[in-house]
Amino acid sequence: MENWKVLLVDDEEDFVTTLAERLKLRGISAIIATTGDEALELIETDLPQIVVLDLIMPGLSGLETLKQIKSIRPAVQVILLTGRGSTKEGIDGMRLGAYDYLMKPIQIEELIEKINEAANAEASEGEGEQK
Amino acid sequence: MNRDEIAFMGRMTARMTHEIRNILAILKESSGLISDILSLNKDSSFPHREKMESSLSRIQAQIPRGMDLLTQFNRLAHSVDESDVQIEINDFLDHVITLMECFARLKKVELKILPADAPISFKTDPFPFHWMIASCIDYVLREAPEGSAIKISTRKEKKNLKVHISIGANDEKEITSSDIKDTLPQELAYLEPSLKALRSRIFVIDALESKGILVDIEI
Repeated sequence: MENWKVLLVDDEEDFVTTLAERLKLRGISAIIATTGDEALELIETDLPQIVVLDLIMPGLSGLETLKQIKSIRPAVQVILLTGRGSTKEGIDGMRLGAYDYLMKPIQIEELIEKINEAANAEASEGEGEQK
Repeated sequence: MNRDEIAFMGRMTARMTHEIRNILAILKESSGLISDILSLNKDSSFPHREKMESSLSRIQAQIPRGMDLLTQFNRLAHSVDESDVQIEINDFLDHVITLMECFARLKKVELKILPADAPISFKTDPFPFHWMIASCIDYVLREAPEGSAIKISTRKEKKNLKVHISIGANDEKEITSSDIKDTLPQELAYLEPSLKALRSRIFVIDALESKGILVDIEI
């Protein structure tokens, strides 16, 4: 957990800043973006290993952002946040390479568990990419 | 309303429930952050700490309640998206009841589901099906005395599903033809155009210990 960097992407700035604070209190380094374009920039400049990405955003949608993240850095693990009662969007996202999805509002413990799992997956995929 | 008007209402409602969900998510994380900070400083005391903690727990207890309602309301909004959907009756009744409970609470009436022993799944048009079941519950609710319970039981008979919405203790007893007093009551006549498409019939039940509605659905 020590060296992982998590990028939180959601157009609700109050949501991501507060969530980032809560993760930091638990020893997880978190940076934030409020648009898909901003997230894509940070993917290349700040090199986060994990992305927590809201699906419904103005401009570049969550799914489009996911596709581009995966094409730039395939080993980055993306956890989707879906705001709907249905799981369809989350499953669509997993087909496009997302690690998993969570329903909003999230449970912080559940998110951290998912981040830990995704970080392990990123570590093994990252090694695979280097070989 | 025609299908386009209903679809518009569905889209608007789905969008609004999404926005309200975001608001609840911010409230949840903000109250969670205050809780985190209080826990980190649990040994330091300051004036009104106890009141602050109890208010915070009340806020945190209300968020899941709001979320549950929103999720069900969002599901209702999305029920207009498709017209031929596989549903499971116990799950569907849970969904309808969650949304009807606030109406029942106003009359101090309890809504109780007596679930079918095994899952019963079938294809239907979910929005008019929801409308039909909710209308029947509402009809029985109007007759229910304050403090009573409305029981909603289901059972499969050959190719038909029977949903029995009743006031009284007689939910386990099989309904006989003599218990059926009427077909579609006047108050529910507005459902008539939808019944054929839903392959459903509605009967008024007036047995010795049980009054209510029986919905008979060909599945």
